[in-house]
Formats: sequence, C-alpha cells, structure tokens
Amino acid sequence: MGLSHFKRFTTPYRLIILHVCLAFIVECAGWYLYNKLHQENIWLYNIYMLMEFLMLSSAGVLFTDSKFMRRVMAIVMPALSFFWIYNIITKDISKVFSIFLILSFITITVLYINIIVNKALFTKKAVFQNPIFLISISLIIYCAGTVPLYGLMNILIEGNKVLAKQLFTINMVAAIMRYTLLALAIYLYIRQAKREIAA
Amino acid sequence: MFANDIALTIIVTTLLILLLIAGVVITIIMANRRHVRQEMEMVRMKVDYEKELRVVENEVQEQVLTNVARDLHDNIGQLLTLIRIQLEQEKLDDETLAVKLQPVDSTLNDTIDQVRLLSHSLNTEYLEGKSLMYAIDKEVDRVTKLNRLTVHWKHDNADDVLSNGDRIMLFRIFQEIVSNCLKYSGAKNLYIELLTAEKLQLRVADDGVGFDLEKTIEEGKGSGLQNMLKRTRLVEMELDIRSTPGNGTIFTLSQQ
Repeated sequence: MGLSHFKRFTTPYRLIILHVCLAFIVECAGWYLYNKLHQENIWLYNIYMLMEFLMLSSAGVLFTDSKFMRRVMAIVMPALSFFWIYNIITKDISKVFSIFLILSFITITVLYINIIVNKALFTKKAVFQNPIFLISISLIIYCAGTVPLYGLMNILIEGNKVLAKQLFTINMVAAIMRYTLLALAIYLYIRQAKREIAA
Repeated sequence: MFANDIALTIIVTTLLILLLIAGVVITIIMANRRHVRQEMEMVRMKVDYEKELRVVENEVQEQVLTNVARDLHDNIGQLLTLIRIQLEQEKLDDETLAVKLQPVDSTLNDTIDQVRLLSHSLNTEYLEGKSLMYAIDKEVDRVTKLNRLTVHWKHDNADDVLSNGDRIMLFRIFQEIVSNCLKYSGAKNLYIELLTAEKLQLRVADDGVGFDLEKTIEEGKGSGLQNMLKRTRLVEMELDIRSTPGNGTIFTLSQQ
C-alpha cells in the first residue's frame, strides 16, 4: 500500500515505509537462515538494527519541530553508529548487541514521545486520525516494551534457551502491534491525501 | 532458577513499561480531546461574535436607511408638495400657464411619486410585518416607473415564513442586486421570480453585459457582491451567482 502510493508521501513517511520493507526482507532472510539452512541469524539482526535505528531516527528528526531534539539527535546518531562499529569490531556478532539495542530503543522512544507531545497533542485533529500519532505510538510500544527483553536476552539465552525462545513471544506481540499501527497510519495518510486532493 | 528470575524480571518490567505507555497514551488522548474541544469552542465563539457583529452592523445600517427615508418623506417630499401647491396657485392666477407648465407638472408628480416609493423601500418600519412578496412588488413598481428597463415579475402568491429580520435582510440583498443591475448591467429586461410555497427561492436575472465573477472577487472589487454574500450567510441561505461577460447575470437565493 505504501509502495504503490510512494510518491504521495513526504520524506519521513517514505523512510518509515522503506524501513518496513527492509524489516520484511530481513525477517524473511532470518527465517530462511534459521529454518531452512539451520544457521544462526542473530548476525543479520545485528546489522539490521543499525539501519533500523538510522532510518527511524532520521524519520523522527524530520517529523519533529523541536530544534533541541534535532541538536541532540545530531550528536546521538553518529555516537551510536560509532558504538555499533565498536561492537562489530570487539564483540561476537552471533550475540545480540544488547547495549546498542537498548540505547537505540531508548533514543527512539524519547524522540517519538517528543514528536507525540509536539505534533499530535496540540492539533485540531483527533489523535487517532493523526498518522504521526499512530507511527509514534507503534514505535514507542515496540521500543520501550522490548527493552527489558533485549536487555536481558543474552543472559537468559545462556541460562535457559527454551525459556528465552518462549519469552520471545513478547517481541512477536509487540511487532504485530507495531506493524498493524504503522499500516493503519499509512492507510490514514493516503486517505487524507486523497481527500485533500478531492477538496 | 536464575533463568526463571530473569524471565520474571523481563515479564514484570515489560508489563510495567506497557502500563506506563498506556497511561501516557490515555493522558495524551484526554489532553488532545480537551484541546480539540477548546479549539472548536473558540471557532464557535468566533463565528458567533462575527455574526453578532454583522447583526449590529445591519441594525445600524437599517437605522441609517430609516432616517434617510424619513428625511426624504418629511423634508424633500414636503418641499416637492409645496412646489406643486405653488404651481397650482400660479395656474389659478394665470390660466395660460396651465398648458405651459403641464410637462413640469408631470415631472414633478413623477418625482414626488419616486421619492415616496424610495422612502418606503428604504424605511425598515414600513417593511415590517409585510411579506417579502409585497416588498418586492413595491420595489418592482418603483423600478418600473424609472423606465430604464422592463421588469418581468413572477411569484407563486404564497406567504413566506421568514422572521422580520431575515425578510428585511433578504429584501436588502434583492435591492442590492437590482441596484447593481441598474447601475452596471445596461440590461433591457429584468426577470424576477419568487417562490415561497415550499423552499424559499428568489431568482433575479438580467440580459445585461454580465461580468467575470472570479476576476471581480480575485481583484477584491465588488464590495456590493461581498456585502450580499455576507448578508446571505447571516440569514443562513445560499446565493448562487452565474455570470459571463456578454451573457447577463443570474442571482439565485435559496434556503439551505
């Protein structure tokens, strides 16, 4: 839906759509690696998490009106990118880069809370009709909701792999909510754009 | 056991975070609703204020028109009547003057008639309690006597259910249309149609030079037009204007 109307979207929405496409490709590749080739796929997600962070934060920077937040992100984005490179060089790529993941999720949560307060709270539109609100909520739920899981995942895998797998359901539920809300936001954006053209 | 503790920690922390998010979302939704309500209230108050302002503006305008009408009737009308009495006196004194003064007498009578009709059409008090059809009928009389164009007047002979204020407002819009037609259109015919039996509809058309509506509005000209549109909104009616240069103009006022 997003790709078929890609030209109608503004840059931050395009980044969100591209990020969803990338997530889909990575999920497919991850599933193929694990289930068909019976290989570890965490390295793939470790690479993907940097791209996801950069795309979501760039979209957030374009969404936000706060100069302060933009300045903060101008420091945080390169800093976290260097931290990711540091992880690649010094750590085992087959283990989740927990600290990077937690830091990137906290950054995205803070950024999108700021966007909600500035963009969705004081508008004349009802919040559920505002695509930015839905995008922000979807990312906040996912990023904040999975921080404890990813934060303790490595320790849990070492202690009890079966339990770790069972607890990964949290990620599944959060991801379903995230992508459902993102799809709804994209649908709302297209509908509103069509209405504006008709008007 | 250690893994179980970790799992429990993950579940509890995740639930707490989700609860926190839910709390934040509910607060945001409530704040947004309050904000939307306040914005709507502000818009409503602004509309009400503008409406009130327009009503006061119209009341002042009506008062001015009534004063002008009274002056026309009481002063100019009286002076013209005095002139006629003096002329009659002269004619009695010198019978040969009767023939000579015949054209003057006729023009004077027309002038007195026009002044009387104009003072009636401007006087709000005179129009109060009368139907729109009656008021338009009198205006048609006045315009016909000007001999500038032929008026084709059609109505369904039914009483309107308008309030006094709305009726006067509609009549003023009608007068503005007719006045514009006389001033600018160069029309030979004026077609007026009033339907009041079901949904009120007043249609005024002329075969004059017409005008470019969009251009007139874009260039900020046509204060009369703007005035008409404002008044139409005030009586909660619709004014449809169709005009192209060279093809006359059609004004249609109808109830929403």
